[in-house]
Amino acid sequence: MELVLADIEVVYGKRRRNHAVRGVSLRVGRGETLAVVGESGSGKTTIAKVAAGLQPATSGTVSWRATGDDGPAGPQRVHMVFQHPVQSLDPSWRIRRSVQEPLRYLGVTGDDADRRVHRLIAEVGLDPEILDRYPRDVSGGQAQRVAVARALVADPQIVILDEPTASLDQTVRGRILALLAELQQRTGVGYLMITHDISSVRRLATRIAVMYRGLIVESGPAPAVLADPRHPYTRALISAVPVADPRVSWDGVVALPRTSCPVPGPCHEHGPGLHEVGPDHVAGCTKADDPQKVATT
Amino acid sequence: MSLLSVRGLSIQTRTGTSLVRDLSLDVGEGEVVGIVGESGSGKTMTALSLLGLLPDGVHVSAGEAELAGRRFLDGPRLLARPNATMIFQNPTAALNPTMRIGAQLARLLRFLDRPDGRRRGGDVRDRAAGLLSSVGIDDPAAVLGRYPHQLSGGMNQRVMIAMAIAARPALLVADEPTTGLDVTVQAQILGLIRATVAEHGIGVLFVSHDMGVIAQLCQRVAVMYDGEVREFAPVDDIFHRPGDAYTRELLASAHDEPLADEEVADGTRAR
Repeated sequence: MELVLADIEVVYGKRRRNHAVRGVSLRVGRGETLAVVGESGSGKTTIAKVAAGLQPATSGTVSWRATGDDGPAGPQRVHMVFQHPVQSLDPSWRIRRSVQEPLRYLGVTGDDADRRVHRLIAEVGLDPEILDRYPRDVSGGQAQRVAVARALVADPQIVILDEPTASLDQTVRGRILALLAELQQRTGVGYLMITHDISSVRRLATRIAVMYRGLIVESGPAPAVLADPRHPYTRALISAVPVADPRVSWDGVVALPRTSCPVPGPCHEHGPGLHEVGPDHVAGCTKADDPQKVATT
Repeated sequence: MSLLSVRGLSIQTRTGTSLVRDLSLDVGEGEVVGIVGESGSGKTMTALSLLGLLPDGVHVSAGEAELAGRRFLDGPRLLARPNATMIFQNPTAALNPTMRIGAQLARLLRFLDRPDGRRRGGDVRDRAAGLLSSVGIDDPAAVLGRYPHQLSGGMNQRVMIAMAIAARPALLVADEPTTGLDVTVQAQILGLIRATVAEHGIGVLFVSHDMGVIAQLCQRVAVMYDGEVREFAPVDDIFHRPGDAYTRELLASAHDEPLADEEVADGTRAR
């Protein structure tokens, strides 16, 4: 199963002035992690909401395509893990009820539901005694494990991760990412991960789509995009991450005007238009092929 | 001689729970000293205590602190207001939501004028605009007319830094000032802090949980865990000759290495 977003446009505002997403196409299949990266206002969270069915697109389609490697088919194909783990749980519900909730919609109740909930809580590395607690009595890291258990309890094809580690400490962050990777290997679930944290991307992503001002400006296999970024914004994003070594000199400041490309050029008038720069690796920059020469497109 | 000297600082809640124990550190003039640690390690409480900003029910139980040779903190008593200012993690929340930026800056400037009994030369609004220019805001006139909610987090943090340096402090305390900002904006704010230190020669106590930020900004680093300083050393030693197991774990997580041990329990504290 593959989740396919095609030509998604989202326009906000009464006068339809605010073009949050300007024609984005992407796909994410089982067993892989597509990381959508970009800054605040790039449209990445809007994409997550559209993919999850939480918000309609102004135009474009969201569909499923059979790929022959389907996991256990269930009506609940997509689930979501949100940025603020504690707030994403109902404060008046015990953890047990929150984790069970997706099963209720599938008509799974009683002992069956209880067994599934216990299995998932064990898989995310929590003690079952947490099931009787309320969200206020668990830490941020524990709450995010609960949210992961809830997202996976109904065997979804795809889990959408919206900044899953943004509000967690660095050490806790590492453990949640390791958990997500392990669960993916075991269950074959696909992840659509929305993030601005490049270190999360390095750990989990198989493919990367870089969004800037509502457009995908570069996408490709994660190692290729990270090692050889072609769009100026992708380069700015990667170089802006402070190097965790005082012996490596780092500046990281790159000026980014509010246009689709930080570098003045033909893209400004015609839009970038993605073109191939490597195997399955595309970039929307007229200079992406060779920084020395300006392509004629 | 160091600019800030903290000796044996302990912080407790009213009910006797210990939050920080026997903390000592120094910050030199023009030096950036980092405090790194996870949520609940006591790093923010340490920062707040130096400005007398501890929340209700939390107090300094022991220890003393000097700024520029003058003792300002002696146990639970704040002897004097130290010549220090602070910037916070969530700049939009730190500014007054009901006042335009211009009005907030004007109020601050008038307040700062008061000690010598007369106003300094120049219109307050011009001085406010000048302050915003000095923190790299290209169009100060437009920003002066805005409310905090109309500005980005990065812009509001620049405004906070402008307000913090307007007071000409000897020490700037920064509590995770770039957490939650986009990484490109974070790079700009870190650049601004570096430039501010270089220009004004102030000392900075910089609280963070991000080892990358710490590596790039600080000359010395205090690693905190569970209320205690586990290690206080030059940044190069912290990163290349860590003397403590917890420091090594922080480094492993920063370098995306698999974690060697589970000595530190996952998520024992809520953020």
